[in-house]
Amino acid sequence: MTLLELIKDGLKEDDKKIVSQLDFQKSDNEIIADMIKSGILNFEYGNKNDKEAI
Amino acid sequence: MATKMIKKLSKINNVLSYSFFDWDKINLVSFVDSDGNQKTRDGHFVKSNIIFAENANGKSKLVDIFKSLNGRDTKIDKHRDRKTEGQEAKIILDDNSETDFSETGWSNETLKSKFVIFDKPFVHNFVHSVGTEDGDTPLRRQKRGKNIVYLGNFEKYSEEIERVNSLKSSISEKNQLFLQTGQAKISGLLNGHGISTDELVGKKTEIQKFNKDNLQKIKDQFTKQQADLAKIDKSIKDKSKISGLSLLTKVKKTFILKTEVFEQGNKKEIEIDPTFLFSFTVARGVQQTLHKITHKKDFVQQGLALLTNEATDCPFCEQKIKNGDYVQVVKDYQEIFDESFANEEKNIRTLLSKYKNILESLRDLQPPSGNLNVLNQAKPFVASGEELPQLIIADNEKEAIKEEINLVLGKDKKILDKIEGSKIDQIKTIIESATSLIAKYDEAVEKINKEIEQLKKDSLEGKLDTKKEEAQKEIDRLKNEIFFIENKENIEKYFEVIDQKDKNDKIVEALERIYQALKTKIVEQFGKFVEDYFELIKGFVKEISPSMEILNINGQPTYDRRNTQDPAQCGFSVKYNNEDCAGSLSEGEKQVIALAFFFADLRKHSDKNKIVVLDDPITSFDAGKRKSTAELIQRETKDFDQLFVFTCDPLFREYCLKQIADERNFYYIFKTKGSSSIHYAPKDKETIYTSFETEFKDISNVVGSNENVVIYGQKLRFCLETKIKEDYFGYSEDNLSNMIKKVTGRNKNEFEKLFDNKKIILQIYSYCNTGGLAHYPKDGSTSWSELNDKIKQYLDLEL
Repeated sequence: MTLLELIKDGLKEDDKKIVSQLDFQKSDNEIIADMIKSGILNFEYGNKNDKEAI
Repeated sequence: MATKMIKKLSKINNVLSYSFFDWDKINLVSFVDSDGNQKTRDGHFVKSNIIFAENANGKSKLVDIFKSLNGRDTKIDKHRDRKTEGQEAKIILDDNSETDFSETGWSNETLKSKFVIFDKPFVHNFVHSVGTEDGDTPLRRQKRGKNIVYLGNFEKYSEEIERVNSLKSSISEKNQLFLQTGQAKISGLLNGHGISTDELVGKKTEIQKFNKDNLQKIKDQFTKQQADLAKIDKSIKDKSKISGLSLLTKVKKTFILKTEVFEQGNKKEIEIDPTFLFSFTVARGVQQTLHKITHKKDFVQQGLALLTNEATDCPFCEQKIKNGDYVQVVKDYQEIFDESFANEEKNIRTLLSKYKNILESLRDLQPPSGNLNVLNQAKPFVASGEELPQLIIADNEKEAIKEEINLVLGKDKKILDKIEGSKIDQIKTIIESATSLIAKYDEAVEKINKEIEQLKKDSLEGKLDTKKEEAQKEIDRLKNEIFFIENKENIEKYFEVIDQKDKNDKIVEALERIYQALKTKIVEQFGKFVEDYFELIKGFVKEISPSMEILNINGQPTYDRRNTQDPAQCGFSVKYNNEDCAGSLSEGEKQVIALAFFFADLRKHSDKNKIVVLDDPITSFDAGKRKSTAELIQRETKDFDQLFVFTCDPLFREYCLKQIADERNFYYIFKTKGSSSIHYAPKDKETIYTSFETEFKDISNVVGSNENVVIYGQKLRFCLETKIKEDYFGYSEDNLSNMIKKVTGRNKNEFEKLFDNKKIILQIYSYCNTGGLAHYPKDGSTSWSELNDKIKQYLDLEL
């Protein structure tokens, strides 16, 4: 059992969602990309017609 | 779980290095016992099994098959030369049940999680040495602590903590960059406008309410406010002129077509109705008469006074009055000239006069003459800029009023003439309009006057500077408002960035909470680990390697990187001969610790229904550690279902064979025809070459197949090499003194056998290595015969 699995039950529901995104087989950038894809993170400036990823 | 052992690996085809292996073909032997009975034995696995093999013969591949059974992988690689062919394996358990393997995996999970395995990956996964190194940096020291050894899952746990921390930092940095980019864009816009990004954010709610539709109105306010400020400035400069400013005069006029009259002694309000007034008249004859006597009214009245009921003569013409003929005529005249008629006429005239006055006042309506001048004097100082509305009657309206006045005058002149053509309706409209104009005018006057009064008061009380400040503030506010409205789209984008940045920060905060929870958990886990394992590990380390000592850092788990002085984490320190060596552990030292941890873990296993597998646990050990390890294996695994010890080390093999004597079999793995195969060695022939030599003596009963050419050729090579190494030079002894003892125990004549037969020995050895034995011989019968000759030569040597 990983350490994350050991703490998961004691976390708040929102934090559990973050934990479910933490696939450490992937790099930080890949995890961040997944989080952006699932709407947890957003680094886009402006509206839909004028979006610039940072 | 019930006790369960592996009886044999009945068949293994095309699985890793086991290209084709049939247990019974290799190990099923028929023999006649001492009583002359025909018997068979298949040499199946027992409780403890020692398996010897030289490197690359298939020892670790067998461990891999065990791992697959344990549930690690459902797929196992094919033999490298048979990639396109199918796979199969059959495992028979001690209850004769089977577990079969095909390309789809194992047929059942009977042996899943059944194994406890110690091998190189165990050492690699569970023992991590981290300490100072040449390229050491403060960051590394802070990150890893001092010399430290991680055991069990604690390296992985630490990695998880590191990853959460690193991900948190990455997101935080990315988020900061996201904000900075947004700020850079908005700063370009704010630049020179005198407002910071923080101030902008502070006005967010206000800005979001601004409406573009109000822009022009706000711009107008801004312009006016600037003008007002200029006026306040002027007021401050020309203070002396302020006190001299006058107030404007109101019009205060009303045009009401109502008046009060007395009727029968009572006051009564009536509406002036010109139509009624103009129609005041009497009968036409009376009218003509009245015209005639209009200047002789007194005379007529005196005469009428003389006329009584008894009068017989007319007082005017002195003729006889005939009763009934003229009396009524006279009475009628009396009525005309009576008091009520006079009063009525008078009223009509009064009302006409009032009406005329209203009309004239309306016609002459104009603002008070001095107002414009007063206003012009005040204008440079009064802020509001209020203008006086126009207060004039239009020309066509004036014409209508004039015509109405003429009608009034005409009526007054000929009071009993009926006048037609009153424009009372139009007059009423003009009055209404004029009344409204006056109200607006007076309202403007009132406003201007208030401002003048306020200005004078402020000037007198010295409040103009404050007013100026307020005006300037208002200008600034309006200026900002115009700026915000004109750039609302871009500003809202920035607000989105701020909002999004806050949301992203929430994720960073969540990661921080997770990070803290992980740190707490690792300390908790480590505390438990120390409690459960540490003393055991410490003891096992001492048993395997008495010079080594494993220490608990600070006696308690800590995990605080901010503590740069002693940033110890959940690991251990290791000393060797009292020297700290955790940072530079050799492979052998790591192996000692790993093995100690493995034994501690076995000791802690509540479920002893396991198959314990140790794959070369001593590769980097000296002789002393080999011996203690064999003792520990025997002691610590005896309660488990089954034991497999794999080794390529002859000495360790010997220690294990001596130490683990009960319910124990010995096997060797050998590669023949390119396939690994497991060979059982009977108890009395456990020195492999002794076992092989027995087979060699009975070779006439062996079928001379191509397969057996290879098998027996390799056995011959193994016997020659191992026998000389182990028997003559004592390689299997545990220390040098024993080796010397063994060598000196042999007499010179025995060694001379080696020297005298050197040529034959080397020829046989060379034949084994180069005689085509690694592959199928082209001509089986010829090769089998050649091999038989070489085997005979070997046996004749009697080494």
